[in-house]
Parts: sequence; structure tokens; C-alpha cells
Amino acid sequence: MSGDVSTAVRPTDAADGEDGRLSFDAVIIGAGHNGLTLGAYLARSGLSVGVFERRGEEGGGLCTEELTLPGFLHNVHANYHTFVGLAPAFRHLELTEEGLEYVRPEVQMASVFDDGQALCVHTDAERTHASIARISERDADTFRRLQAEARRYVDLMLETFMYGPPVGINDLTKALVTFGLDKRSEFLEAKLRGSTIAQFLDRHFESDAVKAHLAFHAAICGYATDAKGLAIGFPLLVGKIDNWQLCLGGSHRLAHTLWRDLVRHGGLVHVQCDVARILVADGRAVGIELTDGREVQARQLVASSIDVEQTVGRLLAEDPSTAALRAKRSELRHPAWSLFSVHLALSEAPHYAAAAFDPDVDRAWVMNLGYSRVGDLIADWKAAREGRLPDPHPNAAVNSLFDTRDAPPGKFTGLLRQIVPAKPQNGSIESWDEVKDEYATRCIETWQRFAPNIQDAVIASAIDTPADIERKLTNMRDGDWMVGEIALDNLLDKRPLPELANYRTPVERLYMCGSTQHPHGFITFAPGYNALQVIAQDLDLEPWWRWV
Amino acid sequence: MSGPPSTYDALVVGGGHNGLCLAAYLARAGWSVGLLERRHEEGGGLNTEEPSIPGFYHNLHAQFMEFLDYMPFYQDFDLERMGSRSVYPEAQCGITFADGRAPLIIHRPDLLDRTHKSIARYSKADADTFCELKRKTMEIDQFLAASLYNPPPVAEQGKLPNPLANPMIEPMFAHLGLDPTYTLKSPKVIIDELFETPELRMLLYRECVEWGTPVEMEMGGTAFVMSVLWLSAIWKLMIGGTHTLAHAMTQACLREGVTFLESAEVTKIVLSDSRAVGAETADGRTFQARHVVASSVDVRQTLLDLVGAENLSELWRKRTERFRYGPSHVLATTTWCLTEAPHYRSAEVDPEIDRCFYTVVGFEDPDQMMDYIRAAYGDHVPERPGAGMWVNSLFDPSQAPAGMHVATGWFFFPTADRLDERGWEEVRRTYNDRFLELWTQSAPNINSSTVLANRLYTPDQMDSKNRMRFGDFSNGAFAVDQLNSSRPFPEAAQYRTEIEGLYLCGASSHPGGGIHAGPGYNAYKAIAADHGLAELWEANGRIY
Amino acid sequence: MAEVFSTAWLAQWAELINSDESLPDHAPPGLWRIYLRIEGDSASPYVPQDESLHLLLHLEDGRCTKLERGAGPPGPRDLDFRFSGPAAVFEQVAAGQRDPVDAGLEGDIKIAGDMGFLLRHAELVKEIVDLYVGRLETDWPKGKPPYGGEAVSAA
Repeated sequence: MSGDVSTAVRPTDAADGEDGRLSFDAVIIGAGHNGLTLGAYLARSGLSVGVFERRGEEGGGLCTEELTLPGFLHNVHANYHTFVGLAPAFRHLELTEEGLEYVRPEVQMASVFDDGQALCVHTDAERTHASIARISERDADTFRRLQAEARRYVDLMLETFMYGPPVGINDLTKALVTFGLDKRSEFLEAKLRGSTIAQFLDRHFESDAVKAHLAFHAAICGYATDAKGLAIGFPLLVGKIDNWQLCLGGSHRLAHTLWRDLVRHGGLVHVQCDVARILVADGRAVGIELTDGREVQARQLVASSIDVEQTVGRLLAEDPSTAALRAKRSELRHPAWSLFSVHLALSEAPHYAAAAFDPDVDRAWVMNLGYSRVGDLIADWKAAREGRLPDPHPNAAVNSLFDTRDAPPGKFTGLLRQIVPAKPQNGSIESWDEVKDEYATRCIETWQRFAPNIQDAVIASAIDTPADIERKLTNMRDGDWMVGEIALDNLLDKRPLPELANYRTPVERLYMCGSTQHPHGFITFAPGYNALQVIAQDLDLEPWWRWV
Repeated sequence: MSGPPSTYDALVVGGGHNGLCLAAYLARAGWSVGLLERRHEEGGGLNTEEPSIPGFYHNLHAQFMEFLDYMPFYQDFDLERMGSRSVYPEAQCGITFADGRAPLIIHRPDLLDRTHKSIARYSKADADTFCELKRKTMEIDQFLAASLYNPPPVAEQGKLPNPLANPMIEPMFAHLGLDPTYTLKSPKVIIDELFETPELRMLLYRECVEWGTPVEMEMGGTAFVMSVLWLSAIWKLMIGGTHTLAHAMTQACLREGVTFLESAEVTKIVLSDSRAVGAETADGRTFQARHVVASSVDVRQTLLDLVGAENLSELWRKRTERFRYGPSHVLATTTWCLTEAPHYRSAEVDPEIDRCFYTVVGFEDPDQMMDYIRAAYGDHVPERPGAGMWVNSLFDPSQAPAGMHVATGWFFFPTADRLDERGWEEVRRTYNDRFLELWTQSAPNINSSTVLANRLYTPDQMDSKNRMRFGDFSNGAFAVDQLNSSRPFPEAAQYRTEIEGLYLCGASSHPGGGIHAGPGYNAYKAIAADHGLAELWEANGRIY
Repeated sequence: MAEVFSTAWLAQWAELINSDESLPDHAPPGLWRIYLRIEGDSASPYVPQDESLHLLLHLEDGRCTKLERGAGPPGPRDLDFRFSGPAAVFEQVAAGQRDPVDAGLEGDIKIAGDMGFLLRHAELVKEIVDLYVGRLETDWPKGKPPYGGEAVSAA
């Protein structure tokens, strides 16, 4: 009674080498969103693709887990997606068709200040204007002009800067001048490359509270308030200040969506497969060896989406062509600061005291708890750099206000995040294990100060320290969640090192495609997409994604 | 906003291994399939997480794989190529003692001499009996598997199913040389009659309940053969944790073209003219099924919550309402992050116990074991917190950070409704510590200085996480009246329901819980027969 | 003087490009294929609504080797850059009423291709655009933009 449909493995599958070992055209190390993005494009280009992931789940920072209690979904890392609709991958990989859903909360972010006042950024610019105007009419007008200007050019600029291999800061500045951008803009000036965000804010705004909120917003994007040169990116951040979106069902759903696209097009992700070595023959990458001893053949290329230290230092430890890079490992830049998170299962949503001033704060997504002047932020950056625990001014987000799927009915999932030193005591990241409980209590107490119902609403909590970040995602060395500091001399063609900035490596057919690369970490899809451009050139692939 | 299609040939409710299995076969047969999963992850009980410290992986539900060599889904869809990998530990299941007595260790069937040696330390007669029974059982394993991977026998028209009427039983007992009257007895009685060693009896009681079979269930002879003789000591360990199997299954489904609709909690199975035609989700989406809606969630949720009692006949409503959950397979999972693997006192006699896949800890005599089982089955959290423990990192370093170890175990507990929220909280707060006291007695190196963290998942949490009602891992009690041709009840035992187009494909159906994907596979057979789909079975040399 | 988008107008533009002696110095070597998709809209009398003009511009080592109207869009493999937008916008730019950089920045003219190239060769791009805007003498027999609407003045 055997059927007539063959149950043999489908012949289109090209995942086997002749000797039965795993074999793919493209082997990608790390299944974070950049590795998956590159893999999906390559699979859609007809290559057989194998992605090898050390962890049990794909996604890297797109990680959603029931950390506290069953039914409460916590985004352990990435929570805010600001490139929705802009990153080309959304179109090319048809992520919406695959089931990805986002919500863009109407009250995007808010600050509640020490004096009981509050400020909200809405998706509606006029409402934002009205909110700021209650604090400063002049700043409200300035912000409206800044936002309007930034909105004009932000998409084109981000597409130009981010979704292509990097250009140098000099070329960038020259282009700015050639196209006369500095003349036609109130806020974009060539001198921004020498300015901090704090200086930019002082130049244009008058109110401490408004400046604090804008600096807070940049800080959540990983832009330190007092780092010279980061002002150049600030207008672009403002251009997307109202495009913060929440991935419904948890951030991990984006990872699943990318994974499905990859597999639908013939690729495979192998989870719980730690890579031990990149195999090099005659100066060319030909495969990988896993820690369990298996070898995987790469017929055309290997791409690494993990950090440089591991790629060059561990996976290529014996490769002579990368010896010079190994010698430069100490030049790789990681910030002294990281993030401390408290994930909470809540029986109630927070009710802010400042709702008396502006009821919209109770329905805001990203909440600044108490940075009331730029100096408060700078003090935190300073403390982090000096290894001291700052007085908590955590930011809070209750995703369940916008996504009922992330908590049991009537319950809420909450997140507190604080800028902290990566290594709080004696220069040791592990020392977090000793101080974390008390510090989490202090973070919750801060929330309680602004939302008096919150302490009683806590059902359970789970702490995620910089040490835990590194333990979970080993490429986020020292808890560096952007995998390489955001600093002007560590961006563009300087990132992560000039020798690696164009995604190629000294080993032929070995590419870097992760957050180490231009533009930087976060859910941008850009490093993977940009590596694709270089790979397409080298492999002479038809760039269907550029077809218009 | 565009999204996935809303109409499919078949909708499958629930993305556990049974839902995945059915979806894969339906898609291979050429149907468009939408798979609706409430959670953010596929796999149901194939669930591996890092609940305490990142890098320490724990299986929170399914622990071991006894069906990889039999599972049609595994073979037909080449799940190893899809990324599934396993280890087959040599020392399979053992019991260890606080007084340092010799452990008992049952090895893989291909290493029966070692099993013999271990049992013979206590009784040569028992060693002879056990090894001979195991050997003979493995000779007929394909026939035993065939009984899982086929719908249960159809009862004669108008008659109740007779659990003893199965034509397989008599030749099976004859082959094994077992007294046919054993068919009427409980596994405990059979174990006690066959073996004299108290230590072996304890281990076998535990093996029996491990699979969900109540050790004191009468008419349990076949269940004894299945759970104690066949399905023990053939356990494989999933490299990377059991969730990697769900990953491989999902990749197989994707390659067949199955559409995954996740974070999609089905709240209603839509009927039209008494036919199942679609499903509605909690967030207001609706999906249509041209031919079939198949539910892998348990029968009470499927028929009472999703279809609605008002849409059932009086008989079906009563039968469904009376379907029982637990206490036979209600478990709590205890998870431990360790700086070293346990070193047992009993290893002085047989060091293999330190490398045993599954080790029973905390019981010193058969009465303690039976008190424990009877307490759990009788609505009490057992006073003495013994457990069966797996230290997966002994075989798979990827489950713990370098040099560290993970241990995961099961406690048998009463159903989730027997304690209130506070009661279970109290259990979670205290029970692991009580177990540690016993564990330290058997393995002195496991103590507060080697335990980095621990966490306990209780039956109420199994319910809220996976909707395994009452914490019942088998989605319905194992009892003579709820097995085989009577599972979930006689009228529903062939995977079809009284609602046209609605099928059952989950563990509430034969052959029940366990990672065998039998219900999903058998439901495919039923659907294929009803809709003229390809006979995708008996492939790859299988007889089922 | 030639009618906007006419063959003669295109020839005039090509000639302007090729008479610019500094261009080859700024231009990267090789062939760059640029496509302008000028989409008919309700305002423009030169391109009917629901139709598009397909202009192909080839620059080879800084010289214009082709500038012509195509029957349809070039195949995706046959172009390096695409500029697309409503005809009225292209016409306003040609008439010096709309700043081309603004039109690009604000998304009225959509740009696709290697954006990094535009940055690295900003001077070249600027020169070609300026030729189109500043020096191309254009005849407007069916009326001159801004067609009754308000012109967005150039910077």
C-alpha cells in the first residue's frame, strides 16, 4: 500500500557534499539578524546557504524569552525597531507577507521630570509641539523646524549612509558642502563633526528638560551625550524619533520571519553549533569546523557575523594572513558602558504621578524616568566610564500596552533599562553578580517614585546584567550590545578597523557581515545587506535587489 | 497591511511536534497548510530555555527521545539533515543510593552484558530475566512501533472497544514467554512477580511512570511491555536540547511550504453548516480551511473551548467533559546550574553511574518509591522529593558553559488544580532545596558551593506555558478507558470528530503523549483516507 | 531652443555635457548608465498622465555616449542609477524653479542605485545636474511650469 509520492529527500536540496559531509555554497557564522539577512538574500539568489548558530535560537539580539513567568514575553535585548519600512530587507524579503507585524505607538516616548512636569513625543508632530510648548514655546518651535527639516532628508540620507559600503567622513563632509546641504539646512553643519550632542542641544535649545529628553532619546540609540562628533548623527536620529516600532509577539518574531524566508528559499539554520575554526586553503576560506569536530564545506564563501576578536583571534588563530589583524585586536573599541535591565511581570500598568500634568504619559511607550537636565546624563556616562554605579534614571517600557500577546490577559510585561558601567568593580564584569539584586531594587524604586502603583504591581522580576549579555551573546563582548563603540573614529570606513571596513578580509572569500561593520549594531539589517553588495561583486551575482 | 494568505486547504491548530508532523505530511501531499501556534516558539513540549543563567540550557518539558529510530516524521523528512542530532548514551537509566550501595544501571540494548552485570550484583536470576525479556522485546520492536503508528483498532459496530481484543497481544506475550494472565495485571504486580530485587523493582516502577503509565493500572500488561520493556533504556539525548528537534521539524515544514502563523492563539474553530471551515485568533484574525481543520491541542480545549459545547451532540459533550487529565503524567521540571557533574557515592561500586543518562535519586527502598508515586497520584506533593535527573552536559558540552554542567529532572506532582497559586509558589520556593538535601546525601559534591542557580517549573506553569491542562504532559490521563481505541473516547478514537472536517491530531488521541508524533502521523492517515491524499506511509522500509 | 524632452533637447543636453572640459577629470572610469523615468502627471502638458518618458543617459569616462528616449524602461541589468518622479517636478527643475537637490532630498525625485557613488562623486553629480538646470535652453510650447501652481523656488 505504498504511495506513489516519493518520500525521499527532495532533489533540489544541495546541502550535502560528495563525501556526505555538510556542504553549502555559502556558510554564515552566527544567525543574528545580519547573518540571516545576508543568508536570505543569498538563498534568494540561488545559493545554498547554511547558517551556523552557537545558541539554541536564531536571532542574536532579537531574543524574546519568558524570563520571569510563563506567558510573559520579555525582549531580552532589542526592543525598539526604528528602521521599519526603511531597511531594504523589509521589501526584498517580503517580511510582512511572511507575517511580521509592527505597531507604532501614538505616544512614542516621554519624559517625566523631577518637578512633576512631563514631555511627550507623539507620532503627530503637532501634538509633540504642543507638549514641548508647555515647557518652552521657543524650543517647541525649534524642534518642529528640526524635525521637519530632518524628515525631508532622513530617508534618503539614511539610505545613502547606511545601506551601502561606508564612505569616509571626509568624503561625507565634502558631499555635504558640494550639494550645499550646510547652506540649505539650519541644523546640518560641517562643524557638527567636531561637536557633542550636548553642544548641539545647547546651541539650539533653551530648556533643560527639552534638552534632557532629546539627549535621552539619543542615548537609547547608543549615542553618548558627551562624545565628540556624534552631533553629526543627531539630526538623523531626530528624523526617526517618531518611527519607533514594536514587533508584535516579541522581537524574536522578526528573527523567525527572516529564518523562514531563508529556509523557504532552500537555506538552513543549524542551531547549537559552535564554530571552532574557519578552514582556509591557499589563502581562501573553504569551510568551517565545528567544535564537535564536524567540517562544513563552503563552496563559494564564508561570512562571519560575529565579533572581530572571535573571528580573527579564535576562528582564524592559525591563519598567517590575519596575523597583522590579530596584533591589532587591542585597538578594537568597546565602550566602557553597557545596559542593565530589569524585566518585570506586572499585574498593572504604571500610573504616573505626572499624568496629572499630562495624561498622555500613561500611554507612552519609551519612558525617561527622571533625567531632567543634560548634566544628569553626562554624569551617568562619566560614572559608567569610571566604573561606578550611577544613581538610577532607568528608562521604562511596557510593551503590553500595545501588544496584548506579550502577557497573560490583564497582565503586563515591563522593562527597565539603565546605562551602567560594563565592569562595575575591580574592572570585573562578573562582579555584577554580586551587586545586581540591590541595583535592581534601586531601579524599581526609581520607577516607584514616578509611578506610585508600580512596586505593588510587580509579580516577578528577572535581571539581565552586562555579564549576562556577554554570557548569552558572546559576541557582545563586555556587554557591548552594539558590537563596537559608536564613536566618530569607530564608524564608517574606520569600523571596526580600516582593514576590515569594506566587509572583505585578508582571507579571500571570507567576509564580515555583522554589527562590527558599518553602520553599527541595532536592528538595521545594514551590515548584512552591505556585505551582500561586496559579495555580489566578488561572486558576480545578479543584484536583483537593486533592480528597479 | 498585507500578510500571509488567509485561506488554506488545511489549518492545523498548535505547533507542537504532532501539529508539525501532520502539517509536513499534508504539505507534502500537495495541500496548502496554515499552522497556527499560540506561542512565540514552535515545538510545544520540545522546549529548551536558559531559565537561570544564560548558557545553561534546560529542557523544560520533553527530556529524552525514545522514538527517533521509529518516528516516520524523522525518517521521511530527513530531520537530521534539517539539523537534528542526538547522542545515544551507553548507560541509560540507573538508580543510586545515599548509603553507597551498588547502583543499578540498565544500559542500551546492544550492551545487555553490562546491564546483566549490574543487575547480577543483586540477583543473577533477575539479571537473566530482565536481559532475556529486553532482548526478546527488541526483536519485535517494529511491531510494537506499528501499534503506535497506526490508528487503534476499530471497535465492532455498536460495540465498546475491548482492550484485550487486540490481535497483537497474544502473539506478543507468547514471543516474550510471558504468562498471558499478565495482560490483566498492573505493571507493579508484574514487576513484583518477575523480579525479586527491591532496587530493581524501584527503578522499574519509576521507568513505568516516567512514560505516563500508572504503575498500578490494572489490565496493564501491554503497557508494561511498552513502557518498561521496550521504551526504557532506548533513550537518546538531543544535542543542544530537545528544542533543536522542533527547529529541525520546523525547517522541514518550511521546505514543504507550510505557512507558519505564530503568536496566533486560536479562540474559535469556525463552523458553517456544522462543518469546520476555519479558525479565529485572539487578535481578531480569521483563517479559512477549504478541507480540514486539525487540532493538536487537547480534546477538551478543542471541542469545548474552540468548537463550543453548544455545537456538540449530547453524547460528545458528555464524553468530552468527562475526559480526565492526570494524575498519571503530571510533572514538575527541576533545573540546576552546576560547577561540576554529580559524583555519586554508589560510583565507588560502579563508576558508570556518574555517566548514566538518567539517574533516579532520593529513594532508598521500594516503599519510598511507591509512597512517592501514590502521593503524587493522590493529590499530594510528595513528602520525600526524590527525582530522576539528567545531566545532559556530560554528553553534550553545548548545553552548558565550558567546564560547567546542567542537571534537569522531573518530580511527579498532583494536577495543577490541587494547589492554589500561593501553594505552587511555596513549592517553587522550597522544594528544590529539600531535594538538594537528598541529592547531597547521594552525591556529596552537589551542594551549595557547586550549585550556581536552580529553578523549578511546576504543573501550573506547564499549564500556563504550553496549555498542557493541569500540567498533564500526556494531555489526558493514561487509564484503560482512555487508551487505544478508547482515546480520547471510543467515538473519537479514529481522529475524526462528529464535526465534519474537524480532526484531532494531538496527544489526547492514540498513542498519547511522548515525542513520537504518532497522533499527527495517524491523523494524516485518516485525513488521507477521507480526502484521497497520497499514501505517504510504509516508506523507507517501514511496516507502518 | 528645443522643446523640453524632445530629441533635439536631449542632443543639446548631451552636447553641453561633452563640451564641459572638467567633467572627465571628476568622472570615474568606465560606463555609467543612468535612467530617468519621467512620469506623466495631471499637471505636465508634456508627458500624458499614466505614461512615462524613459530617458537613458550613458556616461563613459566622463563623456556622454548616449542620451535618448527609450521605448520602455531598460532591463534591470542595464542600468546603474534610476531617477524617477513626476514630470512636473522634472520640468520645474529644468525651468530653474525647483532646486534639484531639494527635489531629491525631499523624495519628489526618487533615486536608486549605488548611493555611495553619489557621495564619493558629489562634484560630478552636481556638475551634471547644474547643466540640466542652469544652461539648457528650453522651449515650452505647451506652457511653462509651474502650471498655475506655486513654484517651489530654487535655493
